[in-house]
Amino acid sequence: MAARPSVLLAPVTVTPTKPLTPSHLKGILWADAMVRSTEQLAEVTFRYSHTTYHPTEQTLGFWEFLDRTRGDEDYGSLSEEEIGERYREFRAVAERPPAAALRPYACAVEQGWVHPASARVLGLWSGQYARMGLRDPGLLTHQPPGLGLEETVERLVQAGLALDQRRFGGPVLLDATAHGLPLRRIVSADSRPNYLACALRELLPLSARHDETVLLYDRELDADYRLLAQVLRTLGATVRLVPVGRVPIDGRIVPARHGGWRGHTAEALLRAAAEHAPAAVRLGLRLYFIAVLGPGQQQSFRADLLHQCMARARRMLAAAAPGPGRAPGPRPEPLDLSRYRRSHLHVDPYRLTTALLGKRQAAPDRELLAAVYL
Amino acid sequence: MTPTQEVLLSWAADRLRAAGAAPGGDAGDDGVSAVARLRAAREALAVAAGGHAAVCVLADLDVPSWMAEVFRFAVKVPAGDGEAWRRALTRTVFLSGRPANLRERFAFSHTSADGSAAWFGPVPAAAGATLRRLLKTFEGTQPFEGLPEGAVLRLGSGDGTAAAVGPGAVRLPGTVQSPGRMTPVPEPITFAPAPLSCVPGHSAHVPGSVPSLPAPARRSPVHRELYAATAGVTLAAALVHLHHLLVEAVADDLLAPGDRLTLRSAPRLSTVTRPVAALRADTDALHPDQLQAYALLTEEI
Repeated sequence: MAARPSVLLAPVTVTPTKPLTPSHLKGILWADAMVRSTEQLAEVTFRYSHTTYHPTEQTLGFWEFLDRTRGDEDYGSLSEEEIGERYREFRAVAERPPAAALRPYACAVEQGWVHPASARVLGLWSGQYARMGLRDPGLLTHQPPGLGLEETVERLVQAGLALDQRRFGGPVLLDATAHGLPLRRIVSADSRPNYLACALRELLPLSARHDETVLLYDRELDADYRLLAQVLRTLGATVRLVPVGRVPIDGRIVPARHGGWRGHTAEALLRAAAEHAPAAVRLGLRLYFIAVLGPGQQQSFRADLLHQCMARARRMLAAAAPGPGRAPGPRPEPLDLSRYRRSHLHVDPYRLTTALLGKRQAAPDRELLAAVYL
Repeated sequence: MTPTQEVLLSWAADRLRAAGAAPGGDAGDDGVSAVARLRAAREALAVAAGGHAAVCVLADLDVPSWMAEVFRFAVKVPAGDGEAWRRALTRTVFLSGRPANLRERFAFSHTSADGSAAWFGPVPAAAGATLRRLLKTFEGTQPFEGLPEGAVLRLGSGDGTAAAVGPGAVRLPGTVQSPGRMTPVPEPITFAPAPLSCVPGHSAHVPGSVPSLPAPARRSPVHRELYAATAGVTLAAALVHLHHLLVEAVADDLLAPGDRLTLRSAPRLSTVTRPVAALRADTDALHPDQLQAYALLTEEI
């Protein structure tokens, strides 16, 4: 029997500085369903390492801002909304902290240190993940990327894929101009990495070792991800781009740094779903965020539709459950997941989940539900 | 000659006149308003010239080596483009980029032997728009550390010998300071041979090609000093000043293959007493109503 192909899924993480919003939830649920469905067909490496992305300025800067403006606060007693409100204050300040002020935090991250504010947020998210049936990707675990920043830059420069002009007072620029893509700054002149540099520290060593690398990303970052994909392809990786749109609230896509999450946080959605059984909540969330909203971002968030999905999920689960007194119906044919891969190795969560919804007559496969959705 | 404000104004006005402008900022006028008039004339010229510009793409940089390549680029500029470019005050955009990654999409006029720099144009600015969109402005914000004092840059002679540095074989330190690291150039700087047989004004040829005509009659080689100011000057600004000085000196036949340049630096160039053949004056960053000499070429030494 041929060895199973290997697939790498390593999305950029949500910075643990504020509550999870519907846009975040959508990406997280898509990634979880993709990993768990693809696992039925391939060896999957799922990297969702907060350690990798802590060195970005929005996280380190927030930590420095908290310590500078508030001192040692008891973050263990704060809600994620309260921490998020401090993050909104930080992002509203135009002035960037100097590199020297961030350096102690950047160094500590490499040793596994996490600021108590973000540790608190990640702890709260762990609980929410469990209630949503999401696999814990190691939210509280130190998972450093395979390469250091300087090593990453050096490899890219040697491959002709970056220009390191820091010694002249310039930045490090990612360079796929040979393929007609514009230069993109990834490290500032004072060696502060952006999220692309962080992603490359993780992806360079991993992507070449997998048969397929899936980049699941926010559709609004399309240009960045096309560039990232081209760089990885030039280094020999097979890369698939999977853009996922955000979820507008009342017709508007508001970045989390502007706040505006009130009433729409993951915690709030879970509280509002208290009347539903845990399994119905889990399946309903996926039916809504994957199948109903789809990969686009046209539809605003609708609590009533989410509620309907949970009700629908309850019926589907009941139909799938073998129960006493129920006539043993014909066991449904297990879904052939390979039908939802198209030409690639990973399973498309949207196609799979809409197929599940479309099987109105047959009860869904319990094993599939348990493996992928619950 | 000490570059006083009057002298600087005179040089700046002459440069504008050579480009076809009527500055009216001659020495003898009120100093403050003269600088303002020069600036206005320069801005008017930039608009009127229709934006003829060159693009210098930089992947890496060692300033003396780069200067030798500027010279080799300048002698290749065809006469017609060179005149239009002069009317636009030899405007040059400095962009970060790797010439090797761009050569299939863009026909560079000149690429340095080591691939660290390339020039596009001079052409009407619109022709370089795609290149500018693809690349980013070169951010040389580090302080300019000056030229290697006393090193000699020998500009390529007409018989095909390379531009070289040193009186015979002077070694350049060739290092560039960076935050936290030093990048030494381990070998003496050398330049791959490239025939330089074309002098603007004598013959014109297509950029990138090397004319096979017999070398035109030329004046005897000369030896000059080139001074660059360092105080308050960033690396990016130094490149701008040196580029203007060198390409305009080539166009004016002040520099030609076979000439030698002894490189000098000083915080400010007000202490230079040698007779000046060409001078790059621009607004004094600390005193916006005054001019400052940022680079100059002396008469023969």
